Amino acid sequence: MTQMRAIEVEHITKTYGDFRAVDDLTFTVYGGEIFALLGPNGAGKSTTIRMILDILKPDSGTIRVLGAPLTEATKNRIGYLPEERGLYRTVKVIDMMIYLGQLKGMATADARRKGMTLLEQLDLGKHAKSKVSELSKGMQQKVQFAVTVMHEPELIIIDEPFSGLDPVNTRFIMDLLLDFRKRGGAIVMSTHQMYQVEELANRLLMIYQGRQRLYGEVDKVRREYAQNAVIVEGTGEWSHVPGVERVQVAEDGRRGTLLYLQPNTTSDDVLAAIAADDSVQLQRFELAVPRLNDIFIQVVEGEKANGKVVAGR
Amino acid sequence: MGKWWLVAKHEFLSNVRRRSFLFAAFGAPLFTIGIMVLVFGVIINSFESDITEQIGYVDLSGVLTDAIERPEMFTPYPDETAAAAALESGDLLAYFVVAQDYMATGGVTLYRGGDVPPSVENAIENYLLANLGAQVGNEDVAQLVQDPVDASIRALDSGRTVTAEGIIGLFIAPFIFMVVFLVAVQTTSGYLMSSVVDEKSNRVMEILVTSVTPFQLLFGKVIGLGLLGLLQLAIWLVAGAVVLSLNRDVGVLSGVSFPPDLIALSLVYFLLNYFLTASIMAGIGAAVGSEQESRQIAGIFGFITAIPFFFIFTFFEDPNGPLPTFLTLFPLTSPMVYILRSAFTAIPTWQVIASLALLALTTVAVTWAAARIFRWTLLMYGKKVGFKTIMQALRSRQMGTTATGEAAG
Repeated sequence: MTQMRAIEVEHITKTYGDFRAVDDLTFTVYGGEIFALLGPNGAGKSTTIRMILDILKPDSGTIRVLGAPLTEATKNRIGYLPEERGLYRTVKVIDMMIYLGQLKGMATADARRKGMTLLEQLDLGKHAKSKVSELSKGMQQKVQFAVTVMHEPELIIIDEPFSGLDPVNTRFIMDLLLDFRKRGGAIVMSTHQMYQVEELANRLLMIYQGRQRLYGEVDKVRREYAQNAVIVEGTGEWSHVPGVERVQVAEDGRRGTLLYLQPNTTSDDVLAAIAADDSVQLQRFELAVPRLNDIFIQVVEGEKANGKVVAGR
Repeated sequence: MGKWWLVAKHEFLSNVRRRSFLFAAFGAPLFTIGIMVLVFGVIINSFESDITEQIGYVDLSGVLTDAIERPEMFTPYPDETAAAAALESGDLLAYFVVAQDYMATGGVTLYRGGDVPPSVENAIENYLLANLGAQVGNEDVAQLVQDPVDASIRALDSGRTVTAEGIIGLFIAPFIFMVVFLVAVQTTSGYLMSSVVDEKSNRVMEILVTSVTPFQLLFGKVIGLGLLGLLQLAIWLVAGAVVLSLNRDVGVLSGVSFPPDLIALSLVYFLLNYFLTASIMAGIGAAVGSEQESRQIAGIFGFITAIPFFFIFTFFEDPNGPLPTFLTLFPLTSPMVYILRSAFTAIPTWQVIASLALLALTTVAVTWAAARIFRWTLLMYGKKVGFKTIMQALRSRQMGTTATGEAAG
């Protein structure tokens, strides 16, 4: 990971009347990473993004983007894909791209060339002269993405990048994102698709009711939430294996059996015990690292139940 | 040139190609003028309509014995019986009898079969006038009796002189100019509103505000569409000048003139009026956000602007009366009224100055307010922007809170 700090947010707070939308958030996004911004609807994600983009001013706290407070010049180095897609509907695709590219400081010829290249890349070359309203939803989504990256920004902020896309187009966009990251760009991705975060994101920030709930590397967060349990697949009576406290079968339709371990038993201990036990045959053995989805729900539900987050176990 | 210029260029180019612009720029004024020509045509025709039927007459007085200037349609008959028979048989539309004691009483009786157009009575009068005049002896006097007033009308202090024939031109020119003016301002500021509504409802706004500031966006739109309006005016001025130079001899057009002072002041009025209307429309577009609703509200302003049209006869009769004076001072109508009134009368200088000052002040205030409302409500979606929010936007010291009140995560 390069050390370029794409976004530095320090103690920002935003209040609407009596409602505290964002409450003392601090985080950093680096170049060359995909940073997931998570949280249920109304958690303060959009408000945070809008403050980063200088559409809103925080009540307190500071935000630095690409090394300094946001200026007009910096705006040209940022790409933004809003949650609610925005395209001119009655304008030709390429003309619209040229206009939006120009507004990001591109020369007309550059904007046309780059726009065409991107459209070809996204398999939309023959639609360059179509009106946006004539395109399918998936195509519009791809055009929107092309608009976001055409001026070769150093930071892109995207809201639900894959919604409405079929698997093939999802792959297209995903490859572009990974390529963008490889070249050192910073990506902030706000999404509800947890499996995409697991697959793509390096680090995450989860906010709920305006406050930070989880922050850090995705794998580390997941490990923190791991219980002392393993998932096994195979045949035999797992409850007889030494060190296993209780057994839970096929949770959530997932394959395998969840073995909760006794407090002082490690996964190595139980693997050795299984190997030594002839009454069970093992086909799969893995640590029970929770899915982000489960962590997400646990954080939100825990908050609702206790008024504070349940610490990682 | 900053990014506002890109916005201006985009607005100008994407709207100048619109079919609705072409219609608004040329079609609508042409249509209006067409209707006017038709109306004037009908009015003039009813005085001068050609009569193909024959009119007979019987002269018992002897005034018409050596008749001069007898119109073709008039046929003399020796006595009433013959004339009555001709009327009966349908050879005549009507006949008139000049009474024996005409020189003492002026008695003329018209007998008619069907409807007789008013022009017939005019013709009879002119015919008798001509023959009576012939008896005066002095030819100059005889001429004058027939056409006693060769009017030349001079608007007080304005230095513009027209002949009686040109009086219609005097009226037509400002009327056309007013229509073009109104259409130019209303269409372009209407485009401004719908482009704001459009960008807001299709969410391009979200992308735009991360590329340009709301002020750059607003300024660019106002300038770009203002240029479009000026183009519209320029086309009409050039077309008007060409038509005039080709038809200078046509009587009706002889009164049409475009004095430089009128044009210069009109341009000032146009620019101020455009900025005023455009600001109002931008504010409405940003605050309302739905095409239909914003059109309704904009329609109210359009209606107010068009008020002078409803009282056009008041301007004819009493161009310096209280209503024209009030409408000269009222900022939403003053530009139109200035043009209209200056055709009929010399507007007192203090009124022109006061109306320009009021308009300028209102424009500055409204533009300022609209910019704030625009900035404030730009990214508020799907919710009604109430009066409270508007007042908040106007009072707020901190301009950096575009979407205040919006609590969506």
